[in-house]
Amino acid sequence: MTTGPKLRLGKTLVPGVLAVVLFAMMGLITLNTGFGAMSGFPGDVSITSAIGYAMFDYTSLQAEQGVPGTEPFLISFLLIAVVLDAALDASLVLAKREEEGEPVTALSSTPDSDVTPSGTGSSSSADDATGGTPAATDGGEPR
Amino acid sequence: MSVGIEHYVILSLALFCIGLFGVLTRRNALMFLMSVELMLNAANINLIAFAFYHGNLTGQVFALFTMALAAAEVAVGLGIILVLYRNFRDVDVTVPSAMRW
Repeated sequence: MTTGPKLRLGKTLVPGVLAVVLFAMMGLITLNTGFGAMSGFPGDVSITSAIGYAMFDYTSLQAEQGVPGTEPFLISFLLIAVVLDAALDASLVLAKREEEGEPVTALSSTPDSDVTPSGTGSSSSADDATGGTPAATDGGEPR
Repeated sequence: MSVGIEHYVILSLALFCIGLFGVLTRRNALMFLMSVELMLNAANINLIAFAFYHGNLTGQVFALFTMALAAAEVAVGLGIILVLYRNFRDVDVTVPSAMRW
């Protein structure tokens, strides 16, 4: 069982040679490529404001005070928002666990759920489903 | 002496290769996740350096989106590691073999 990070030497490091070889090869290629000088940004614009103009499609503001040549990104911004929402839902679904056939969601907290999860009988679980018992805010301790 | 674009590329290459080294040699799933994050950040350094190189902000805005995607990836990855630990009582990536191929 892996209980903590410890440095393992020996045969497990052999595939890592691949990464070192890749670094050496790509480093040689990079050093032998003539890149030329950096263009840089114009000195009189605020970079943070220009990022905002590009991200939310403020085309008139971008033409006046933005960095020229930057593309608009509003659709990408909305797509990333949807992806983050989906990731939140996916993590909640993955955090759900089953106890004796009953799914227990990660965000539910009932007073006796972590003390006696299965021995409460059917009436108590029906109360939980309809919200009859108040949610515990003190770590599940009965008052 | 000004810092050229090749210095940024070498830095990001080093970061990427450290991440690749971790992915290839580690067996702990949390170490895997950290190594993948290193590789994503190497891509971010490249995006921002080349945005300065070309003189527009497209790369910088795209790096922001990459960070958001990395956050989504970590959320799903940690959920998967949670399920892995619950089912196998271990976070060793070589233990589960049912969906490997």
